[in-house]
Amino acid sequence: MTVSTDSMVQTSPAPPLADVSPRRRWTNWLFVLPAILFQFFWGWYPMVVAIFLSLTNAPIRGQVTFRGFENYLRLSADPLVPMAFRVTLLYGFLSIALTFFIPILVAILLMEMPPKTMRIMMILWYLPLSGIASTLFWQYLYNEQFGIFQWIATAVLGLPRQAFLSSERWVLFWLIVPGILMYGPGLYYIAGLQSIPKSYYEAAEIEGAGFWRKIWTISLPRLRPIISMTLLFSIIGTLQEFTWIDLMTRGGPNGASRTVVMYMFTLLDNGRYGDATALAVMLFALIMFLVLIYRATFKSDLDV
Amino acid sequence: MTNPSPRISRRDFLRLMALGAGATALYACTGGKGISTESGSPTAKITLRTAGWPIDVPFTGENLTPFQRAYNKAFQQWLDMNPGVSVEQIEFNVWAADALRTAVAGGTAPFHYPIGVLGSWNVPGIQASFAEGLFANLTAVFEKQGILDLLDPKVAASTSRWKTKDGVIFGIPYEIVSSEGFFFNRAHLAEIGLEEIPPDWTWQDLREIALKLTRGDRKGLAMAAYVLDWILPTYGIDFDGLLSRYPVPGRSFNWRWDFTTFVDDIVEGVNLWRAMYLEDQSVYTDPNYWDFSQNGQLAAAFYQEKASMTPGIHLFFSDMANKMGKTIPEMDAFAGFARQPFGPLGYSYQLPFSVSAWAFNPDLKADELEKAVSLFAYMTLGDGFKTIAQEIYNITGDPSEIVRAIRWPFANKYSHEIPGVPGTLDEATGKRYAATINTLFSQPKLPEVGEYIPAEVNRGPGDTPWYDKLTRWAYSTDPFDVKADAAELENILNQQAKTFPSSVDQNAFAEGIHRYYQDVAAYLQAHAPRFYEERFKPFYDLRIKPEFG
Repeated sequence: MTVSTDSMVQTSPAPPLADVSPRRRWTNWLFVLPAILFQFFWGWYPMVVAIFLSLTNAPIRGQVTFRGFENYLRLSADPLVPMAFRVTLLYGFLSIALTFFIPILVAILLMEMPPKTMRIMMILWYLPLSGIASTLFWQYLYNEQFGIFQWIATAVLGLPRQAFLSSERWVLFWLIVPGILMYGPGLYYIAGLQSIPKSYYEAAEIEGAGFWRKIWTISLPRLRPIISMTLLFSIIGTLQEFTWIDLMTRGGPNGASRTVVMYMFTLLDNGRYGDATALAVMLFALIMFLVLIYRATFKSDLDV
Repeated sequence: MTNPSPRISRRDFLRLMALGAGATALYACTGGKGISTESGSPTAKITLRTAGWPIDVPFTGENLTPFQRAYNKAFQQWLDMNPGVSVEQIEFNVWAADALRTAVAGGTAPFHYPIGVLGSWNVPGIQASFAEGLFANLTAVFEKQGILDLLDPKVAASTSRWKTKDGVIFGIPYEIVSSEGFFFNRAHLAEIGLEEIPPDWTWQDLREIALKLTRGDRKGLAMAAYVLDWILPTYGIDFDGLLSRYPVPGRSFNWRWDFTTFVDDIVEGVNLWRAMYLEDQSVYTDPNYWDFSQNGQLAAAFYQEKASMTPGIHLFFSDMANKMGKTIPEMDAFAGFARQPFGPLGYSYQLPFSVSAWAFNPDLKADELEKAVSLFAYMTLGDGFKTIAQEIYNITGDPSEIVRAIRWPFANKYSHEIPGVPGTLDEATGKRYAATINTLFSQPKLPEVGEYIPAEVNRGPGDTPWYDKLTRWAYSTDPFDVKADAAELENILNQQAKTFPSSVDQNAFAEGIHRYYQDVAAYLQAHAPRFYEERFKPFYDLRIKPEFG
């Protein structure tokens, strides 16, 4: 016996544009107008202005002077720029590798639990915590002299004193660890899993499918649109990471955790607005490039 | 059968949109005003927008502090003398550089803000910010209102943070601020047989004292990586250190860096810091402790007596007393203040004090600027200040409450005595603490390069690479080589410097530089002769003499 999802997909194709009455067309536009205006003022307009400013001296006040690619040339000669991009990419890669897949597994395992246990586990796992409070908490956990982790490492496990955030080699790893434990978007996976009809699993069980088989052939394929979306957001988000790292390490030690956005902020602090804008444009180009590759590589269509 | 989900018709949607637009328009018409106050005139023509301290709108409520009641009285006096002016309180954090920058760019900044926030808290940055048009030109109004006469003579003579070298005024001095030093717990110090920190102490002395003060869970000293940035400059090494940065006129940006000539000094300074941290274990610290304030973790360790010394500036004294719930005399009995230690060759880069000034919004019209400066000067330097101090005394009967409410010494002429208040402010402050501060503020002043050369609009490389190395040298447990790091640091900064143009007149720069190093040489010969002979003279012969004679 085979189970097909085709019969369950109900489509109601939109009428061709030519068939829409002018009045309805106007109304349609009116409905999307707020979104367009929002996107224009908070998305496209700032982007165009940023690209323009990156070619100028970008003063806070006074005459704007066109400088061509001078800002970009200066950044290309700055050794801290490639360093910041390297840190950003490494952080993004590690962050996605370490924090993205575990929550999928956790969500699937949660769904296997009895409903009451699942609800308790969901509350514990996806507890909405204040970002700043969490940061202060983690600062304490990582404290080299008085932190709990140091105590566990030295007093409980008998290990030598650990460097944690002081280690240039390991600082990115330690910064990512909290993300493994508290990954909010995992709720999306739960919602996705809950929307899969139980009949799929029942049918699979009749066919003799085991636990892993059901995950591989039903859960993961049905979660693919959600995974695809959250992965995209993760790529964009991690490459723009700022607050968490800035609060935890300020980019140290020795710039080992300084991301591009953090360096951009430093340039702004130094009054180098043109340079900061040029760096923002460079980061935008990198993210766009990665997103395009991603879109070309991964399809979110269930039936592909 | 399931209930159909509620639907919104097109008409409903349009109605909602109209409602939203109406509400937005209504809010916009109110101007989003906060608390405002105005003079008796019903037709206020000038509105000054303040983000609060040091110019607040009058305080309201039932349980006002003596300071708040005194402030209200003085504020009302000014309003009575200035009809047609209203002051509006806005919600804005003037200490957040990015927010302030945006507000100044957009013309929405409050009428006054601290000058250092946009100027990176240093003289070149402040001077550059004025050159960029971020502060109003106050020269005419400063002279018209006779503000110079309101200032303490020391403050009036220390102009680098509020006046250009050409005499243009862009700030009103507000506070006199000590250089960084250490607060120490007097009782803990007495345990090791010391009553005061020796005024000529060195970093080695600090290490020994911190070690002796470390007992049980208590550490001798709370400190962050920025303390390493206090140690190395006493060797002449810093991002803008006397020996590690040198002028090269006519080659794009006018400065270059040299961290290799005296690299052994860097090694020595780094080893001293790390020995305290790793060997002596006499330091309460962590890589993410950066806060330099009376409210941070380092200060908290001091309050809780987990650490016997903590970094600070003298301004923290009153706030610390408030924080600990102590009176000023009790605070004087609890803690003392010591200047930073000297380097091993007797050099200190520290100024005896610096002047904290406030800038004014460059978008203010002439009449607005005049009233803004008048209000600020009245409340912080002139008769309003005097009224506040007198009123606090009248309410409390205790002169030390003035010092508890307003950080002493003041930038105005009332630091010693206030008419109508018995005794001196020194006595009210606490004799030991006052003696330390008075001695500190009367030290000779090392020349500041910003007072000699024109302001550079292109600020050049930032100090990020320097702080990168500091964080590594301070805390990293990975193997590293200070000498290799110093060479890398030098290379990064010089590589960056080549890409910046210079905006200053080269002749004026060369002339200023010549005078600056002459004055520095004279100062060092008089006050740090060993450092002059063993470090400055070789540096001068290598870097300055060939270019500037």
